[in-house]
Amino acid sequence: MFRAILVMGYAPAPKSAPKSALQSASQSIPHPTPQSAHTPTSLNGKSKAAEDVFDVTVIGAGVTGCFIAKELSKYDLKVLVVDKEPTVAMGPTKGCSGVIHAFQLPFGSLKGRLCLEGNRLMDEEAKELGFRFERVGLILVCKSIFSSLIARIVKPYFSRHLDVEYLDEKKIRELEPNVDAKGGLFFPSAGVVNPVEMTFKAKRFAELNGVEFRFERKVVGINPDQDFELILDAGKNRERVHSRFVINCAGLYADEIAAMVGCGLKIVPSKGSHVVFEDRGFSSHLMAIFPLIPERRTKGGGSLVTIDGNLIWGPNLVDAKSKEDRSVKKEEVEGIIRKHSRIFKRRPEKVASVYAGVRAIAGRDFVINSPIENFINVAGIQSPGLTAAPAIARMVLGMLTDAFEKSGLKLKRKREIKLGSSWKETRSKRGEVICHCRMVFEDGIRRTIAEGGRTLDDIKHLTGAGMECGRCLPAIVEIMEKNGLPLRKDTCKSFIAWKVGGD
Amino acid sequence: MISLKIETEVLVIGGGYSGILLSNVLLDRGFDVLIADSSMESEMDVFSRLKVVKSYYDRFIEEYRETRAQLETRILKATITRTVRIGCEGQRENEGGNERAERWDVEGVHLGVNYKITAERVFTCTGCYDKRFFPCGIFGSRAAGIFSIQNALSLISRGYRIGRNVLLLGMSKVQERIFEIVEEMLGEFDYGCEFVVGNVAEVLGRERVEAVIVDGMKFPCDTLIYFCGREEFNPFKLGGCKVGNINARTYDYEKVRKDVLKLDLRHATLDSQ
Repeated sequence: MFRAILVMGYAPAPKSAPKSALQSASQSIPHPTPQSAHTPTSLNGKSKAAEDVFDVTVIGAGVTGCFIAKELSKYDLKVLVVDKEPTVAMGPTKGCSGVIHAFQLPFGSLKGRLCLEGNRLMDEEAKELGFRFERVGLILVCKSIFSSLIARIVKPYFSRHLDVEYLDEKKIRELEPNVDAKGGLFFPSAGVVNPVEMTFKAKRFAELNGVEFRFERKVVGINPDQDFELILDAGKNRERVHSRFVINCAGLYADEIAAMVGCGLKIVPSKGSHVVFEDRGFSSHLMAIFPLIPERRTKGGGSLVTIDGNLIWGPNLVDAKSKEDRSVKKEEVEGIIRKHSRIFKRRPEKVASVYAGVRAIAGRDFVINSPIENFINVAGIQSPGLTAAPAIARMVLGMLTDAFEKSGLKLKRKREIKLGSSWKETRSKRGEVICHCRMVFEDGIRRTIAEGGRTLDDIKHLTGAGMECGRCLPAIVEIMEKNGLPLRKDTCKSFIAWKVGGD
Repeated sequence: MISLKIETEVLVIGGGYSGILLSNVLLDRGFDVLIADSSMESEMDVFSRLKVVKSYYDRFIEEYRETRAQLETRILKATITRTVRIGCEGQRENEGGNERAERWDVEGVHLGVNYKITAERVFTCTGCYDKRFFPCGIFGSRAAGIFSIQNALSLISRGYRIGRNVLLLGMSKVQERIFEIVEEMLGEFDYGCEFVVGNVAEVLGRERVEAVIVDGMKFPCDTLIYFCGREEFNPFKLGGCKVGNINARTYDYEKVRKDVLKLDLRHATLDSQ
């Protein structure tokens, strides 16, 4: 049903299309007029199939790209999302700490504003998309009387923008008995999510409402013509798609995409490592030492909790060797533990795992602009990008609306918007227990596959299966294979093995 | 959900080698035994699918299979998720010695059925798992192609191929025969294999393992199989008396066997919770 709606996007129509034409586009029957702009001709004169013509193409299926796609899916638009990876959230999104920040300094910056707005929108988004979100609160811990004095002085500065409370020594002890502090600032609006789940649910919503996702397609060229022609490298062959608007959410590779349309942009990869502890319930708040150690590009990390209750310390900030450098060095782990041990009286015991993510940094702030007509950069989405994603999506929608209006068109909201299934359903308790550590049933894994989980990492991050002792991973691999996700010989990220005889 | 109530004298959690062997011992001593076996595959099943590994463990596999077949009627398919000790009910006579009696309330689940089991004694034989790579001192890239021995064996026995050139990495404090066995098994499946012992390792590679630096020496490979010991597998923090590989934590099943057979009921501790 929604497939029909999707084919009816109007945008490839000439710029002078009358308004009545777009209104008719939202009717239930498409009108394939022969000279319709659905079949533009490319440079070599061959006519293009209608399925390769889009109103908007989003490059990159990270949290930003998926939230933009989700927002656009509410409108009568034909939207395509392309990504070079086999699934969503494979870049900076996956490597982030999952924190929904309460604020970002300076308040006046673009990221500062979008962070506050994104944080406000998060409850609504979590409900609409069905991802888990918990406002656990952030405590900025003051270790000395002096810093607690500063905290009280700067509190009014924060309270102009958001809720903040000063905690004295006793109150902190009540909230976090293991913390040794003289005072602190408490920000109740800070929260945590599972970034992969959040992105996956946005993608699911967008998909249900007609957005097309094409994975393992690397954009290798963009020809700006009457509309944009994108050349996609799909491994064996090349695809050409036409799009009236292009949104560059390519994360670490946003500079390469921008260069294709002749726009200068520099992305510096910057690595952040995390240490995950086995201890659950060690602390229940996000915590960092006040005053925040001023670093130009990061807030300096802290002692965090995950949505599943694990303790996680980090991230640090190290210049990455390359955009794919997700290695964690021994010295980094020791450094992180040394830094954050200061917060607590008793240290957590066992390190369960370590991981690193790479931030895409383009200067001090987010870069959201339109350097050439109908091309929007959403680049340099560093921290607090996860928090800001819903706000960024609305901002981009606003920019698109303006661009449409310039051409005398109007974006039209779909009459019916489909909602995705909620997380609870995904965690169905039928079938055999596959993962004992996180109590994941076979049915939960099958359902995640049915909802679009494509790789072993998808299954791990979305169901939690195999995240702890890892003993059940071979069983998950087998379930995936039974459910139409054969392992492939190529070594792409989470494809860890292949079937004998399959090569 | 359907709920079923079951009463038994002794509940053994885990239907692997230790659980089966222990149940047999207890039955011989005249106890009424119920074995709760989850859907997780026993290590013996994995071993028996790999020719080379099977030849080393033949004795244990035979023993496991024969005993399990005899006890089939006593096996309940259920994943035990909770054990609660209700308390001691006083003294009881048994084989001349005084034995403390206890009572346990146990909860389990299988295919939509909830089980509530009452038992006088609970033994936990849930085995162990290989430590994950970080606690083993393996740093660097988290590229695809890093396996513990347990997962490598399990995947290969299921008919998967996990690479071509394997670096088998043993941490120097662990001395087990399993390395030899794995090396021989990999040879049978046409893997290139090099065995190295070291303390600290760093994995290099973007998507797939490309090389591993062990104590400063670089070894090119596309797959890393590591082992630095095993840990208790007890995700539900079950109480009961721990028996078998959950204590021994090894691939040396002679030690596991000894751990099961040394069990003396009079000393089976109650305070393991």
